[in-house]
Amino acid sequence: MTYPWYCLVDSDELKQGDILEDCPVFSPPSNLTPNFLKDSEAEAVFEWEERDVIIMSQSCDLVKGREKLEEVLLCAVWKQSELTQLPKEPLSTKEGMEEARKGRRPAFQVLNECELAKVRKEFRIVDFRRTYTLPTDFCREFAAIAQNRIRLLPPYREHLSQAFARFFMRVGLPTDIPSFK
Amino acid sequence: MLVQHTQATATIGTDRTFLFDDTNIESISYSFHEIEKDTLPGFLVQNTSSCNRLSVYQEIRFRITQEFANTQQEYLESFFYDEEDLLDWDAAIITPPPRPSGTIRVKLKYKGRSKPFPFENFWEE
Repeated sequence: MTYPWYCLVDSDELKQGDILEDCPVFSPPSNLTPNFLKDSEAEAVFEWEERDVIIMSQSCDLVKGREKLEEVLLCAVWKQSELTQLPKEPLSTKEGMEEARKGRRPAFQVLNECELAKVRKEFRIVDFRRTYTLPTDFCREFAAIAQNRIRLLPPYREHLSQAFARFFMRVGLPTDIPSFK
Repeated sequence: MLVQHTQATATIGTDRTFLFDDTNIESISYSFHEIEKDTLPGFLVQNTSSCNRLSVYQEIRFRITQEFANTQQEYLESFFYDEEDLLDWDAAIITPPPRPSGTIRVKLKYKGRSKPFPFENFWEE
């Protein structure tokens, strides 16, 4: 029995594990202070970029017509080829990727390459440090027009959400046990 | 409690005890009603070896099983839990509490495709 990692999606259905490629993400400026917001004439410049993101919100909260969320939680996804462009970074090496694959890099989760007939994708890394929210309607409309959209399947999807939770629930001990050398 | 073919006892209810002995086997069939009503012949309610083994053995076994099942049901129903302690996964604040809000004008500035950020080892302090 095989357990494929991905399937193709061709609708506006949203589920946890759906990858939205080149999705716009918006960054408010750092000078967006409370005092700034009180000015009714204020104007701000929001920068936006295209980024691959993956849906982290629970699928049951995104059922069309019965949405429980007005905004979808997303995490950044990087291609392995993008990471190798950072020569001094741990994940730019095979050793670093192996560490992440084994779960020793809590902020990251490695996704297998996609080898579907219509779609081929390289290895990717989910970055839990970067989370975004976008309106659910926006995500649904974006998903509807996306071509060859792929979805992470169970149990890899649940493995991802578990790793995401693990990243946020990690606890640093004030007095840790010294390492065994 | 199983009634065996050798000398054994079976208790129906709280105070009815039958002693069975297979030395004189005679098949007599009695209904549950008669067992409960204690209308069985007196010689059956004796703890002597002259009691006959009855085919009621099977009926008593069923009765014991039924009583056991009823006891289990009562046991399970005896657990008390407060429904308020059950989690409501769909609980939501439909109308958020009023807080300062407003609208600001924004200009969008396109920066192209994102690039990865510098990585750190979060296990290292």
